[in-house]
Amino acid sequence: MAVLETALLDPAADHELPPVMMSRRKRVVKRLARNPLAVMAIVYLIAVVIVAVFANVIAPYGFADRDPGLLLGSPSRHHLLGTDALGRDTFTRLVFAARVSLRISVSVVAAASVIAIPLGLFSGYKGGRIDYLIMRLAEAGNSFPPLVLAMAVAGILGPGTTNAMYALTVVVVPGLTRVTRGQALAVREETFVEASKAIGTRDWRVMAKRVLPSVASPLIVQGTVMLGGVLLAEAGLSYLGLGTRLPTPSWGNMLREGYDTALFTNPWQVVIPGIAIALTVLAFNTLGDGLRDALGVARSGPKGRSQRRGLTTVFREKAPAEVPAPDTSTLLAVKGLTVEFATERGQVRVLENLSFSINHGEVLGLVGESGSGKSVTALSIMRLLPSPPGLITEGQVLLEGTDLLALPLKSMREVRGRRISMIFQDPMTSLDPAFTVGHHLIEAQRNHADISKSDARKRSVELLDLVQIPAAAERIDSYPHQLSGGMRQRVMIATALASNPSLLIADEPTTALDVTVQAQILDLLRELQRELKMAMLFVTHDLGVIADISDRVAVMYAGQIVEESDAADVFRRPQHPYTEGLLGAMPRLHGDADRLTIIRGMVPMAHAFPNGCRFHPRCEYATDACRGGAVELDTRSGGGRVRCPLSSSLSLIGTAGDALASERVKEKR
Amino acid sequence: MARFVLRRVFGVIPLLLLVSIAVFMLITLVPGDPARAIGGPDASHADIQRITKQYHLDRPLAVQYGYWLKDAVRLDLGESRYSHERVIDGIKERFPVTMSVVVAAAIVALLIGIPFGLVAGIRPGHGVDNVARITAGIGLSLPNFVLAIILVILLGVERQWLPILGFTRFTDNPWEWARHVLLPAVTLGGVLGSVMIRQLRAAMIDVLDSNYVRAAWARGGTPKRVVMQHALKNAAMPAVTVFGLQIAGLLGGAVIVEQIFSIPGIGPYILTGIVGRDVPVVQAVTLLFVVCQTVVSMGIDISYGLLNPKIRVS
Repeated sequence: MAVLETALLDPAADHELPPVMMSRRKRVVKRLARNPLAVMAIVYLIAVVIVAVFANVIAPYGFADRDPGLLLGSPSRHHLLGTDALGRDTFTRLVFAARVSLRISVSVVAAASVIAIPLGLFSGYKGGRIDYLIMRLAEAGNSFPPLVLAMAVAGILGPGTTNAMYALTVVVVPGLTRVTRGQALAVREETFVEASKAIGTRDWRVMAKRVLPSVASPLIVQGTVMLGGVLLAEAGLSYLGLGTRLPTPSWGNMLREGYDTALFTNPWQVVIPGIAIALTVLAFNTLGDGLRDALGVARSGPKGRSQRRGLTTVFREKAPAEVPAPDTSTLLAVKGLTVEFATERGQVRVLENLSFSINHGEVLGLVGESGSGKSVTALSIMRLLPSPPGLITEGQVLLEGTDLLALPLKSMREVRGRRISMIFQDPMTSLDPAFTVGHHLIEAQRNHADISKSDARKRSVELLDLVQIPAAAERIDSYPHQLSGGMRQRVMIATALASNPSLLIADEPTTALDVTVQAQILDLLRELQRELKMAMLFVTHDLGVIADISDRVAVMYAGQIVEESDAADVFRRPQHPYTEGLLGAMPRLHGDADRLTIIRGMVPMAHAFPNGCRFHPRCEYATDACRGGAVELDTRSGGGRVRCPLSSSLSLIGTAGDALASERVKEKR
Repeated sequence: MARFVLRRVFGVIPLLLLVSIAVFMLITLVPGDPARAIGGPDASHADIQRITKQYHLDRPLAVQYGYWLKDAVRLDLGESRYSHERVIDGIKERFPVTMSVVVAAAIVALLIGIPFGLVAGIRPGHGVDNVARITAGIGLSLPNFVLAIILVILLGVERQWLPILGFTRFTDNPWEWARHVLLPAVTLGGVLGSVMIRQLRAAMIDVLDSNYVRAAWARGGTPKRVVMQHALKNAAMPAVTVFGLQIAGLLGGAVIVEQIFSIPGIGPYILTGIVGRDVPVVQAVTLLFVVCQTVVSMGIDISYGLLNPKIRVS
């Protein structure tokens, strides 16, 4: 049982595998170390902790020692920060106050964690009535203004450090419970938790070993920020005379004393504890932000560089070659397209020297596994790849002779949706949830034509009819969430067709849909393509999907095209071992079950593309010739192109002519 | 929509009941005899007996709560232990002052938060974004009483541009009100403004990265349409929520700020009450704050429904 349990895909299993754990911890530390603000915050906080712990040694006087001859003294050799209204050394009091303030923050956060984390885990993990009850209680707790509740509790219990801690704990617990519960709830549905439950692991064990590690990161961040929050609140209470009682100094009551006695004569006495509070809280907040980034709790925004919205940046070192006179039959020509991503490992080339073209009315299928670069290609044509991280560094995208990579946003905008339209993989998230179907359709038309809303609305109904949505006149006022995935994809197609584009880019349009719905959407796209004589770039990982829609097929692997040919040729006589592998992995109704094969391994990451042929580590035919220099994409006599040094000597297995194919299998064995 | 609103309004009732129990229970925190706590140290034996009777202190806690709730619903919140003024009258006199401070602070917060948050979210890494991020970082770390003191020292003590003490009601003299409310409002609103900057920035970054925004670009939308229509409407939701939740923070902060600037609002009232363990006053003001918060949250919930059609049905 235990073996099975660890064998399940489990991100939280890190803690059972020390080396992996180490590397994760190291990674977090490394990322944190690269953030100068976080490092400064850590150094400052360590200094404060040292000062607080060794207050007795560091402070030159006792915190209640008075020098009656020197009230509100200026800073001097004997009194670094001067003295207060009672002649006490300000520096000494500041140092002892650090001890009080830190002790309260740490104790409150610790106490709140001990109460709130189990409660939140339990609530989120168990769900149901218990969850409902705990959450209503937390909600009630959260509806008290925090400071007022703390004041009320501290005031009624009576001022004092301990009572202030009780009061602050009461205030902090509901929020922390809620956060923990939210995280636990999200993890509860994860496969590895469900798997643990399914094999009968006890609840408390699942919670402690599976759920807690997965929710630890956000809680660490929350706890860090909360330390600052509690410190602030304690200072507030002390300032109001409800916290730490004099003569014990805390930053809050020092501030108050200074305000009451020295505001007009000696504002310095007020500013010093104020700065101490602000810096410490700032340090906690900064560390919290740093941890959030380092632990990967939230995606950090792009740093250092300004982000441009809505248009991929093009920065070509070499000026592109002279644009040749446009070939009238070619609609879109991609030439030498090279795209880089800014990553933690520096600039990484994800697309290299990509060239292909699409004629008017032609359907090109672009195939490859995830990570092969096919979606990046599609997005780059539309200049929709976000910059940063994306950057187009070479090449041209010629739409009837116009280089789209040279256009400003204003002109690119006129291309998008009118000359080239695009539909996306995930219809569930590609429609704006805040707007109706009609709004999307009307917007698509009014982006490009000066027509009235009512005319656009009429045409929208026609468009919905065109994509075969029943009761189009009613559906037009639906919100996206009221439609099924298939219906939403139909709406997406309708918006894409609104301005009669000459090219439709379909980026995995059926991948997120049920199999039956997939077939319907494919049929629809095929019909529309023929009816409207529109060219299409059909991006997919599934050769089966494009088998009878494409005129030509380009196969991509690791950022390169490895084979391109007429669709029939690709299926019948693949030239590249990768294509053969993809075909072999394609289930068929009348095929031989034995022949369903898989390609070993995965597409390498862009920073680790191998030398020589990029496919060779996974290729069963690979020889030394494949491991040498880069392999060129050669044009074959039959008209297709292939990137394989062995292609002329290999005879690979396609899908048609099953008898012949099995002969070849025997030969190979 | 009407059904949705009604459901939200009635949904608040159990929450309010729960909260009222918590507020009532404050009395049990008082060390010693609650009758003495209410009557004060000078109360005679007869007074104590009268108070015990009046507040039903000899009955079980649940019964006491019942009586207390019955009175509270009729806005009879007892009387102050010291002044013997009816608490409801005390609140009526002071709450409008606090509200005017809170509203001014909210305006300041929106004036800071919306433009900075939006620009920072649209162009992360840009100059304005850096300014906004640093401003927000400092705003969140600076306790509002420290900010208040800095403002007082700079603008009130050094320059004497603005009054640092006292208050004029808006209804008496709007100009003087504005002069008096400016520093407290900046003090209070600065923190909320910082929260808004961060929230709106994060929401804009997220939403601008979403698939539907990419699809809006792909349709050929202008930056104005994509950013100001699709992105803003969706980013507004979390921002509105945070704004509503933080109203509670404003009320709490107002207590301190009123204390610093000697504004005769609810702040000094509850503080005097707390220091003197004037339980009816503390209970009443706490309850008032919670009710305000709950009503605001309800408003937020309802506006959420207006912004997001999906919420309305579920």
